[in-house]
Amino acid sequence: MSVYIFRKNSFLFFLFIGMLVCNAQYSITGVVLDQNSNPITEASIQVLELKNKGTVSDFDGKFKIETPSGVYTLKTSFIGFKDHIKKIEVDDSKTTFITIVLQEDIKQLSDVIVKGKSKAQKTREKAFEVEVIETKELKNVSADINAILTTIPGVNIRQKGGLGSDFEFSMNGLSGKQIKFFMDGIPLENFGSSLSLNNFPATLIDRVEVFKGVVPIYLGADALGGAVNIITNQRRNDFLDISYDVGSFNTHRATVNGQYYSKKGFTVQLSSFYNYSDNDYEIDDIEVRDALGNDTGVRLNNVRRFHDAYNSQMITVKAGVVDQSFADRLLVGITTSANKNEIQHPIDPQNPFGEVFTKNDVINASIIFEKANMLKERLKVKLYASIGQNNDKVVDTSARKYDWFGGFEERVDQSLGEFEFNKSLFEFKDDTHIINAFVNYKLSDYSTLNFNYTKNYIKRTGKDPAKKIRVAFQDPHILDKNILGLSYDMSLLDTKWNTTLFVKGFYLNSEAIIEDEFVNEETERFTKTNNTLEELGYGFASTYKFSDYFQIKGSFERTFRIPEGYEVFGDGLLLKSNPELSPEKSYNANLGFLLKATIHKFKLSFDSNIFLRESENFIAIKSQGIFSRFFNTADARSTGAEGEIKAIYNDALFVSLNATYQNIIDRGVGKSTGSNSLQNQRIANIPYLFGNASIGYNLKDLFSIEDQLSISWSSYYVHEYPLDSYVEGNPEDRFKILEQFSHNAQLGYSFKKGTYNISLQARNILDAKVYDNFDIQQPGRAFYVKLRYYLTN
Amino acid sequence: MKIINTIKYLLFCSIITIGTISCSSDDNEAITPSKPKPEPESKSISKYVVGFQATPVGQAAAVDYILELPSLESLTTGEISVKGQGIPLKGWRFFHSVKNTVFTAGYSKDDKCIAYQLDEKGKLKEKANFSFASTLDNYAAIDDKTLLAVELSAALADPKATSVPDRSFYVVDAETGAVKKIETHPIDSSMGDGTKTNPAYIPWVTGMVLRDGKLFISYHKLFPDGKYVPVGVNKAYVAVLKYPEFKLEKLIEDDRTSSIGINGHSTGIEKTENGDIYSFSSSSNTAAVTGATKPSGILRIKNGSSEFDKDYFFDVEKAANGGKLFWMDYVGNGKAVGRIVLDDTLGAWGVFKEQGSFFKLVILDLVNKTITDVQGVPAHANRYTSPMFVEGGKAYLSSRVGEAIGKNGENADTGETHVYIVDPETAKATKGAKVQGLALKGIFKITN
Repeated sequence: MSVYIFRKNSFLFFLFIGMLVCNAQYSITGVVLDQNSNPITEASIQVLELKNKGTVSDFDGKFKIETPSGVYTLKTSFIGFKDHIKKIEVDDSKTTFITIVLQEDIKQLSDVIVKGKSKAQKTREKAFEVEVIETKELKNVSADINAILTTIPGVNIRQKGGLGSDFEFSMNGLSGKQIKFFMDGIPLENFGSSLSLNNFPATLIDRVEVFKGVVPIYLGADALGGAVNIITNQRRNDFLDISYDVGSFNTHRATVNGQYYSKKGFTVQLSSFYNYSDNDYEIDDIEVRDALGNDTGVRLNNVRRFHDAYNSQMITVKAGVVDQSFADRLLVGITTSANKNEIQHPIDPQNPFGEVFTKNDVINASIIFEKANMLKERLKVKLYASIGQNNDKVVDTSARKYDWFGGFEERVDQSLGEFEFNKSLFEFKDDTHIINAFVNYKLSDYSTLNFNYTKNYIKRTGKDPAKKIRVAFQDPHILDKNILGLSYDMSLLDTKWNTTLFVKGFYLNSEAIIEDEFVNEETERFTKTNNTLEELGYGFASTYKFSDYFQIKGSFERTFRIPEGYEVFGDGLLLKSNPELSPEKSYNANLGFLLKATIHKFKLSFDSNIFLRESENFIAIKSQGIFSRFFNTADARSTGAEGEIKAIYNDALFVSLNATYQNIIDRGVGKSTGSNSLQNQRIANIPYLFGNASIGYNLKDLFSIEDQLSISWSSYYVHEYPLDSYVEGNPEDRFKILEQFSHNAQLGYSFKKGTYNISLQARNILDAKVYDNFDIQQPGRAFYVKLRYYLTN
Repeated sequence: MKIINTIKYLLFCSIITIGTISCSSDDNEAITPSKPKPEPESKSISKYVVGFQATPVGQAAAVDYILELPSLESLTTGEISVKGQGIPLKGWRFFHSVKNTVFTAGYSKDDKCIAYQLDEKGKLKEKANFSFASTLDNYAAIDDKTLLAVELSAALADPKATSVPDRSFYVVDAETGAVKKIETHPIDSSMGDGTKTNPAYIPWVTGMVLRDGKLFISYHKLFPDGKYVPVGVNKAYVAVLKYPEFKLEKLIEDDRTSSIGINGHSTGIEKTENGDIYSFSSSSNTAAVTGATKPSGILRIKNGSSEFDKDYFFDVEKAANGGKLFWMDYVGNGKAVGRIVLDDTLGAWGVFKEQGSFFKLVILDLVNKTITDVQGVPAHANRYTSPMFVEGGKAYLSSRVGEAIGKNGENADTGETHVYIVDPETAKATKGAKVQGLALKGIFKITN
């Protein structure tokens, strides 16, 4: 078959094939339930006699398999449940409807590593280069999402301090705004800091998908370097999940999470968290200065951080109906969250702040509609819309200069702030709305067409009651991002070869007030301007499964990051506009291998990926006298490899090890100096060699039936890397981010089928001095105890 | 079972470790560096030291280095690079020297000023450092032993403010690198009455000279809205303070030219060998002296006087080969080197860029009021610079030649920076060492 037919007429072609297949077949229909007659979604049903014949149950636990007539064995499996085998006869005289009831397997339920084809495993086997972390086991541990994601190969998260501190997420050499975050497929980029990854306890989520470089269309955003999708609980059971943990630095975290389904299909869901920490850990090498600011040469260790407390809270309530004729799911939800973050110091920790803090609060209302099995069970539609408001405030009203030892002096210039040049009560308000529509149309058993549209609109307005001068965003900035995606998924060669082809359209419209510095009349000085950008991205992801033990995958994408409003328009103050700014652009490619083997009681898996990120037009800020402006600067190339080995023995002992090496260069630098040694220079201040290791043991049925004691040790390593340059400066004088090597230990005990859980965690157990950013010391040894009560029907 | 045993062992070890480490003291422990033993006097060594601004890599800002060079030849021939050498510094910086000490102060990202000297072995070493409250914005070596640095703030944002805050002067001992005292003074500030004719302003210092116990300070008056827009720009202003008392003696002004100096430069006023003080006024819009209508020119305060010399005015714009000055620095023998703006329509701050054909280099004869174009230096860029380095009557300066960088980063690779050696007598320049970076922010010679 020619490629031409493939591309142009595939729709008709597959429709035709589909009809042919349908005509000769009979169907087995049924439902998969648990012991309590709750439907099980995504259970796998296989016809053992027919190779590659199988399906998964839908949202209502229902499934349909088409077979020729005959006698077959159906194997039904789902993570956490024992496999179910059933013989069935199919002929043309009757429709076969069966009910399959799965028995819970407590042994399996309590072990995240040993699993059947969970959703996570299925996602992993997709053609995209994706990592999936299931949090089932981690729910009992005192950890936020960031702490979990940092164990993924290729991912590095640099945290500026304790709970709630700023972080930079990087993946395969791209970082910051180049990576986009989602929750259940909805972009989080315009949500406030109280809803960012460092707040969410693992208890609230089901799993996390991390897409490297190539992002499927259902995550609609201008992700240059990949995307992270946090998936909250999607299971349909009634439960109540309460947790509380307490630990070092006066840290307290609590979650309440639950949902209820009535017989008539009414549902209420609640998800909430509360975080608090003083973050008053001790740091070293604090300079002692005299009254005039002279360095005395004395350095103090074990100095306690005193202005670094953080608290955040969130509550989401969703209510609606499920399984109605008009909708599979129709929910309305309200989310509200807030945080307060004291700032201990600027980039240089030697100059502490004593009063400055930031605040964020968010309120958001949303509606979700989902309906599958329309148009002869081929069409599935998901719609989402939300409207929200996000307020951010910087409170910097002190002209005091604090020192690390509890003292301060009043500055001569009382108009100065701690953090900013002038005292500030700067506040900006973001009005946001998001619309997301996802349509999935099954062309045949082997091909699907998907369409996704995401609109992400933000209007930012700034004010500052502490300033009588003009403030940033005094006139609103509007940024309206529209991302369209179309993809075609096909499965060939007995579903061994799976491919997705996709195109994405990026449309951005932004609007702002631009200032003409040369006009003195206030009325003429400011003019409204518009900026429109359109870009077309495309790519593919393909995987071939040689056997159950070996799979190869490759993916490619041409993608963009569209400049944000303030990058194009400036902030109306010293940050000037650059309407000619081009989007960041990148060609991303991955080639991955998945290997699995089972030898007696040993289960081994090996997952590796090599990657290329050929990026252009990185946007960076440059100064021009007192002003600064965003420019397109570097063209970079990131190449590297990452790999992970996991081994499980007797479903009890597990070991896993992963490592990442990456080389990121600036393709442009050095041309002007005519020096070869500066050309293709490595970009500094990015980790290039890092890895994780963990080992653990699970003891089951120890004191009582269906209890579990688990013990584990994990280590985190980042090789030393320079702050400024790999080649410039005397190697002994170069600033370095020193080697980081820290270890965590965990001990957990669950009993009564996982209803009661207690865990003890020691982070940085060897009390290593760890610097994630230059000069900014991370917390030393810390202990946490977590109690969790999980009740389900 | 071997693995399980290993784990048991590991756990056992870790528990012991926890126990041991937890017992360690939490008290603050002080580490005082031991004082180096004095070594016998050796022959004095001189070296050239440069403030080197490297080419930025990736999305990072350009990094500044301080680099020692063994001889004058390092400046006149070959290449100057920080590959494998030089001490990296934090953030964007200023470089200034007083006799045998080079000071480098951070701007916004680092609030420390570090003093470098040559040690007994002739190696460049940090002598001392001090921190300051916000930013040090102007500097002067007021004598061989003292660095004077002043903190300025360009906004009076607080709606409740009833007066303009004072400026802070840091008096630094150049031999020890330590701050001796911090003096505060308003220089010349006003809350105004809110009208256009009498606006509020704060002083922005552009040069400081000490002569006979008097500190002459040239300044711009800035409207305090944080935007660095000058008010009353069609006058030159100098404040005369008693030193070391920091008592105002008088404020003098002159309406033949515009406000003196350029934001970020420290050579607005300078003293010559005979004690005369010369100042330059730019009047250039693109050099951020916005709204000036008076000609760019040079004024004089004669030795012994503390008034502008009524009989002296050098109209730089009217003179042959003239134009609007962006920068001027005195070489000696009544001559100065200057940079003249080639195109004044680039908008405020338009020439404060790393690269572009913004200036021509000229020799200004302050006595005869003549201007000669310097041969051998193409149109170039150089935004901030330390006072010029002069040896053997010749001036050494760094200039970047290349087309202006476009908004999408175009032309960035066309620029080249060289040291140019300028002979003020012949107005000829020779191209010296190539700089494998953006600029040399300063060139100094120091002796141990």
